Amino acid sequence: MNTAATTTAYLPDDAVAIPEPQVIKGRLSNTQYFKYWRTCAAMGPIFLTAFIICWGVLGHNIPPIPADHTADQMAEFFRTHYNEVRAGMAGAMLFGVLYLPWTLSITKVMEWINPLENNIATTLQMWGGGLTVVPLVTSSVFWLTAAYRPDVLSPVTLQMLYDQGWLLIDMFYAITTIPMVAIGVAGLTDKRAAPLFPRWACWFSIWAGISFLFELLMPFFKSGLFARQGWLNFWVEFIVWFAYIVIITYYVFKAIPRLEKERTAALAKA
Amino acid sequence: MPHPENDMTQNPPDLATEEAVSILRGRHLPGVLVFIIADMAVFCMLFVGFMVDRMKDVALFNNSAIALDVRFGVANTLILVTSGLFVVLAVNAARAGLRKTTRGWLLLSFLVGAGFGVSKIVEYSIKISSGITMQTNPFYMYYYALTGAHFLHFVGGMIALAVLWVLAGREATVSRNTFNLIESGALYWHMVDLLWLFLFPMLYLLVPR
Amino acid sequence: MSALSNRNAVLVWAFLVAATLGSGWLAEHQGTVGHWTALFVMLVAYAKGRAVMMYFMEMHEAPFAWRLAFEIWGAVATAAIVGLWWFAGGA
Repeated sequence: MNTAATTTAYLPDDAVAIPEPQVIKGRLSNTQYFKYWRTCAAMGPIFLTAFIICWGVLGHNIPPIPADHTADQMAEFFRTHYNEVRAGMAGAMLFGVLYLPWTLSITKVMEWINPLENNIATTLQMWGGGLTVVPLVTSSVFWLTAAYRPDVLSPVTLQMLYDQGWLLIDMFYAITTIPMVAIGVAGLTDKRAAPLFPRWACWFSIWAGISFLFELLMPFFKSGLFARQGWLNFWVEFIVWFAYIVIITYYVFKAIPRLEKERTAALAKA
Repeated sequence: MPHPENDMTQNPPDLATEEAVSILRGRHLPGVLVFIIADMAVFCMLFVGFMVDRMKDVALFNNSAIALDVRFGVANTLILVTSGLFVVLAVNAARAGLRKTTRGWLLLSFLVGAGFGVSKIVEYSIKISSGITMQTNPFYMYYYALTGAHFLHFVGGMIALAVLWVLAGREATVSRNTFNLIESGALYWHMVDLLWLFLFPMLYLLVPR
Repeated sequence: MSALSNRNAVLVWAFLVAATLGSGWLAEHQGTVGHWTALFVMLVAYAKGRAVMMYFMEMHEAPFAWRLAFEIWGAVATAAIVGLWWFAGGA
């Protein structure tokens, strides 16, 4: 089915044709050009690890407190674990912003996928990924508010804050779908013999972004698979998102040395 | 396959020929299969979720399922497998480079497929007008969620068929690239069919009638 | 990839139509046909699904790993539905 491609010799890359000046930045040496890039890419795994620890473990969000628990159970939780939640949310708000530099490292790879074409997909990916910081950080504020003075806040207020945090982080998924689909769509147009983002990763990225649509049902349920703690809307969707971060980071790190060679070749031609 | 990073920069950096690029694009196919198999995996989990929750209250699930109209399910199955056949014929025509025939089958597949949408909307409106919604009971929660998720896949497939019909219309013959897109779209459309083949008996037919 | 011929595609389609009409009729007459109808209907669904995967999706010609993935999916989905139906007390 896919054997035809492997039987032909590797083709010269379109990308090795000289990219647009704003992409190749011909005055810079490779050292200057690729400076900070790997650091930004490394922010992905750092974000993921720290977010799982701070938001997930300390914040008791992995798994979430079930939506069908009573307000008193919620109050009991905050009045017992307030210090963990404070620390967790402070950390989540700090490390949550690392999604931005990680996003930029992907954008820079995407600029090289079709360096002679327009930058719509690249720009959408940058904005969508960067704006993903918003739900991550602002939802943390709600949990942090609840943990700030749980002794004087009423149980229903605490419940409302916890609910609001979850409703925000789950229901703002679409801003993350944009970069996921943009990476996939742009990646699939890569003409390289071995694309910078392999086709399977592109399709996975598109699929993962669209699969978040199940969250649309989340506000209608307090139990079952679609509730915030449900196996589908929590376990499947968050694992899919985490896996996407790992997969894309891996291919960004694989792409950077390849682009160093491509840029060298392109500069030599220029 | 071997990793070509080194060769890439050593090769003469001429632009790839159209034909060569097209051959490379032959690898669309395994890619879309990742999308398809991931989707199918989630649907399989949903099947398990439905069956596990069904065990908790078989009577409720059976009493709800018996109220579903099997005729809609049968009609929808016939529509999807027939539309699927036309897509197979479209792929075969595209493989032979017959652009007009390809478009004809794609159009027919779309028109027959549209019947599924009509039938589903009629079925949903009958249910909703008799006050049955997603929150009626756990059975209907699954019924709407599963058929709704499937319906969104169906809509995606219809859009894909329409886009392929347009793309094939822009060319003198069926290019390698368009062929690969048609093949990918066909695989996706068959998945919509396949999922329905399981959804229909699971939702409608497990109950003794 | 060697394609499914148009003629064979029509044969597969004819099987799908016949199986759909047959199992649809059976399911509506479970009372008279017997409690095992649901099991039979699910196995027919599996056969139909497998026909779609192997012939319409051309998995019978696909690389082994892909074919295996689809075969496993069909088997797991059917086994899960039939098995949990059985555990729930069957008919």
